[in-house]
Amino acid sequence: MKRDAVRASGPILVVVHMSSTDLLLAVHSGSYVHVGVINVSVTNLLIVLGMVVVFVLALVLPFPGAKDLGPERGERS
Amino acid sequence: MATTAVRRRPTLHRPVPPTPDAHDFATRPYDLVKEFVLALLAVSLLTTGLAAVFSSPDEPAITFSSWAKAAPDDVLATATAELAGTSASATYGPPYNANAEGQKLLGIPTQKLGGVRIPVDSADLVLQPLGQVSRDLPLRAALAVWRAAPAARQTAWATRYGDALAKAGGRPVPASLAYGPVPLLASRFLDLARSGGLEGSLTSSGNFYGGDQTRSLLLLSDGAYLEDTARAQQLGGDQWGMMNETGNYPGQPWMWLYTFWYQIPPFSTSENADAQVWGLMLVLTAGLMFLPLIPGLRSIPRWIPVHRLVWRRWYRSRAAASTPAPRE
Amino acid sequence: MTALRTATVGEAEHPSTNWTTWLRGRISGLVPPGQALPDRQPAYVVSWIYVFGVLTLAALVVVLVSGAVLAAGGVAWWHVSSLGHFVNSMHLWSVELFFAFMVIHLWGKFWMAAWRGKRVWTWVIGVLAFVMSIGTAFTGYLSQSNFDAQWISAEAKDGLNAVAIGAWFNVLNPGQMLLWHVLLLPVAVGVVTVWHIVLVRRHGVVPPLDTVRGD
Repeated sequence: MKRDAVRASGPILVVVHMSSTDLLLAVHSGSYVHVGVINVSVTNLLIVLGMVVVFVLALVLPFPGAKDLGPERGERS
Repeated sequence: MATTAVRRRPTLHRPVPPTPDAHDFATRPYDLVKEFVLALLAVSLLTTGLAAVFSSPDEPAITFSSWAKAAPDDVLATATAELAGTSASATYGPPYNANAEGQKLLGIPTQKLGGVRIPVDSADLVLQPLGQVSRDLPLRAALAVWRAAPAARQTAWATRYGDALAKAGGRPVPASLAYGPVPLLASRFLDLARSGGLEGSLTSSGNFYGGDQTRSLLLLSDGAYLEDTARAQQLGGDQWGMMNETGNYPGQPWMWLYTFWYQIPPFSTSENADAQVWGLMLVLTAGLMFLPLIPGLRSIPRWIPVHRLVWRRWYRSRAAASTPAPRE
Repeated sequence: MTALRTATVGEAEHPSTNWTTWLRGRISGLVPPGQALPDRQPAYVVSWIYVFGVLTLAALVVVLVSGAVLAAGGVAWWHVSSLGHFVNSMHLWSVELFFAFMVIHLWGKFWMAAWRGKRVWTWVIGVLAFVMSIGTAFTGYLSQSNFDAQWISAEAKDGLNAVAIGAWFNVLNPGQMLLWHVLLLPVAVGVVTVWHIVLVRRHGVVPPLDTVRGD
């Protein structure tokens, strides 16, 4: 990306020449977490973390139902 | 009465008692239909909310015209490579042609097994649309010169011109007889692309209805522009691209293991990476599918007792039931 | 006046060669009597982890309905209509939810070792449903007629061609991919899903680990 200053004094008009590749790269690619080999989008990371949280909650949250789970005589299916 | 002590920790050698029949247990009322209706309501509301807040991506397709305007040098280089027979599609092998062996898995030429069932002539990707242009005498003359030349000379012209383009790096290439009619053919091809004359040309040639974009997509992917655009959005194969989506939209997190292998050696540097990763994923998927039959893996739930959370009320009630009532 | 009876003259001596009788027997024998839609469950079915199967199924319904609306509008509708784009968004997010619920369901079933007690097939068919769903989603991505579809098809062709599948299943052919996505694969996923659910109803919900007897 090259910049050419058109006027040296007063308000400076900067003309920016961008190659077509630069134009592509100016398009934002979304936010990513890049750690070593790992390159994961923030959205995907949130989705997976959300799933783990939901899974844990499903395991620990109490389920509504009969408190007493003792054998109920005569109620076999 | 002597009792044998029961070992509490499961081992590989302890015989596992058979699982009792689910229908032999005490039951409690449970409304499956109401559960389904509530689930449907919940999912419908959740979906509507997510759709309203986050929407979905729709990056417009690259047209040949937009490609020509954004990256004209790439179009010239691609057209030249098609004529030289050095483009990715020209050197692909099956199913498009027999110009390469293709990939192998464990020495087996898996790519060849399908045969050349979708024959594509890469040079024709350029020559066919050019041949349909009318009232352009220099072009017709150039095409005639090209067609009259033996294959070796065609390749030599196009290869030399391709090298010259690469060396010039965007600057104009001085004319030379060494390139034959290739510079004119390439430049006319660029004009045709820029004008929009290429859209649909490779799809519907000779046919009113399109629907099969094979040739158009092969031409597009022979250039660098498609991949450059994708890589700018982290969609490249070595960027975990299979999992990703344009912008901040959700991608395909479930593809994590499939795309993972492409990020690490030996797959990241292998010519046969696609076949190898397919083979590996086939094995791993079979492993997941037949996990109940794999000793060790199938015992993990016993060793790490997450299930004690799931069935804690049941276990508690069994323990309470087996505790004898205190004597009066 | 004779009433229709299931036992006819001669049946006691000769096994029925009636195909209808055979099919009826097979169908009614798939699931124990009263277990196709029971209003009771074993007492140990008391956990939120159990709702993820039905959530997956509910998400599948939303996927199918939103997909049907997209199909009604045609391939390019969602590019030109804001309603169409919204329906597309619903289709995308219901698919994300579908996979999220299905994977949580899989996690739960793994930790419960739910393949015990003759339920190996239920597990196998479940994984098959998962894999086929991935394939269905894949053909959906190829049917978007936008940049995503272009890039995904350009990349995916290499994987499929490397193992010869691409010679028949041409990801560069949106006409073919759309038909697989809208008809062939959903029908296959539907069949596998029904099979999975029938197996669950047939064997019932797996009893807790280390339970020796029914009581």
